[in-house]
Amino acid sequence: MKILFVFTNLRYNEDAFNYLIDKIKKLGRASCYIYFVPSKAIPRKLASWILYMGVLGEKLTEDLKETLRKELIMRGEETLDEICTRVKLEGGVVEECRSIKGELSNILEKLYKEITPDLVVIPREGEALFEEKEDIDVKFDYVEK
Amino acid sequence: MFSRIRKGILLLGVFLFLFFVFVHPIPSLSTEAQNNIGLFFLTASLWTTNYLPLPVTGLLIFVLLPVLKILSPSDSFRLLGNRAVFFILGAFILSTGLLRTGLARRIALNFLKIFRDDFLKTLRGVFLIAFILSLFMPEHATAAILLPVVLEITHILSIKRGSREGKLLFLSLAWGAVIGGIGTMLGGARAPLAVGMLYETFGIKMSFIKWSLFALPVALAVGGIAILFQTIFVRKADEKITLNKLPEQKFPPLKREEKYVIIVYLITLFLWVFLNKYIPLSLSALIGAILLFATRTVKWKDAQDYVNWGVIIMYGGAIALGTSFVKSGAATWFASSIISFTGNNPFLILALLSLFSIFLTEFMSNTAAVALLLPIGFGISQSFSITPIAVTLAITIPGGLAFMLPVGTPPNAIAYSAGYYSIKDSVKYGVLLNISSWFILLLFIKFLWPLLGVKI
Repeated sequence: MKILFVFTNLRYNEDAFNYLIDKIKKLGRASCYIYFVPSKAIPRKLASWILYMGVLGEKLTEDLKETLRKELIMRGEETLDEICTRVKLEGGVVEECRSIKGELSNILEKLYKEITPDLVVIPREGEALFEEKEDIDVKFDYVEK
Repeated sequence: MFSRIRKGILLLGVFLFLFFVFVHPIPSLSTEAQNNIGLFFLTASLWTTNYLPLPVTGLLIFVLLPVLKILSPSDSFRLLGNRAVFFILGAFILSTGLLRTGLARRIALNFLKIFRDDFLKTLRGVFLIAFILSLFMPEHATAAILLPVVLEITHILSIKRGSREGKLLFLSLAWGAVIGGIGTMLGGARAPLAVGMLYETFGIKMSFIKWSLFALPVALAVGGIAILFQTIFVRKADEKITLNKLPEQKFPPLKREEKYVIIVYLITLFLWVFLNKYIPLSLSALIGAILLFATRTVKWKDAQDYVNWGVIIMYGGAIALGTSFVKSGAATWFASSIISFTGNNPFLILALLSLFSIFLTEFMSNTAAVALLLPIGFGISQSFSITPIAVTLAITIPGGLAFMLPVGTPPNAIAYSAGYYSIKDSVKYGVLLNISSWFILLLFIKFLWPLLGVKI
């Protein structure tokens, strides 16, 4: 079975990851394609706090956003490594484990055509690469053939 | 849940505004004073919920003061030209020099070299540099320029998010900036705003050095407590984490523009400290700002980029609201309502005002908190013969001491934004610091301020 797991620095949560691991455990063996898509945006909550304060000048606000953007992308890459290592440990075969730059929807479309996965797992937008987690009921979407 | 609370506060503010403006429920009060109380509640709800951007609420004050016949349009607009607004403007442009030339970052990195040996020293280093920089530039700018430096430290030391080391490192950044920010008039807009409102209402001037004589000892004492907390919270094992791993960073010699910034700061400080009898603080701040432009150290574009001009309107609005609140008699009514609970005990009144200021500043912009509380405090000082200086200090100094929530003050939000600690953590550690700093302030009010000429 081919599993496509795509996350971004705004879309990642433990529930989606645990679902992936459970699936691998159940199947015994699965080919996993794991991608991190760095997003230029910073989490909404962060952005609104920075902007609400309204006291930082434009330059400091931009610098601050850039710092946070870099930090979140770096965390995303670290998380990618951690996911791939764990997938291997659980018996999954990691066919691909890398970052791809670009628009998420375009990347998904392209990967879907190239890989023709049996299962696609995408975490929903939240704050998981950021400490506070969004209070959402459904934490990921999946499409299974 | 927070959005529901915000909605509730906003609706309550609008309701109280309409109630006071249209019903006039207090027959003994003039229409202007009742309208002013209504405007006060509306502004308080808007500043707490941030339903409108802070400067827009400032504009709304300028619109509603004449519409509600509290002040004439020209009297209302005149208050935007208050000397405090120009002091803040000058001080912000001065800090642009520190930021744009990279001098602030150079100072920070050089300073941190001294604190490499163990993790506790590194924590103290981060705290102290944030504290020191905030004595000379706005605390939000300090936190913003130090955030990348502290992130760099966490990467080099492989400090994980959620770890005790990470939490303490980022809390130290926020605490240092917040506590340093209360030490002088340069740490934020609160102190100049309060001094401006004091002058506008009572004609009392307060010099840069006089303010620092009252505020700096409090900052140093609260800073001492924060360092003590760091020592208590750091476990022995943490000491293995040492910044000695940090590669030695060599800086080129000071650039000409960095030297100019230092000279201009020294000139401005000299004017503030020694010539304040002849040159008002606001003029000295503007002279410093103009010198930065004249030496080509700062360009107009830099001032546009580094200073948030919109927020100046908020400060103007705050002064206009405060001044009209006292002049219309609304402040006296508010004060007498509060005093009916506390009795005429000046120390108890100041203690409660400072406690309320600490509480309020956790939930809203600390400048807004001071702007809202100060007029009430002025009313109290008029009704009960407490010197307005004591009230100004007792509200403004604790008004900067927000340690618990990111919304309280920009340094908290900036440090929190790195994601190394949760709100639960900052509340847990921050509440201890809040309580300690309140007790320290009470000790200063009781024992030090009378020695400095402010008798309670």
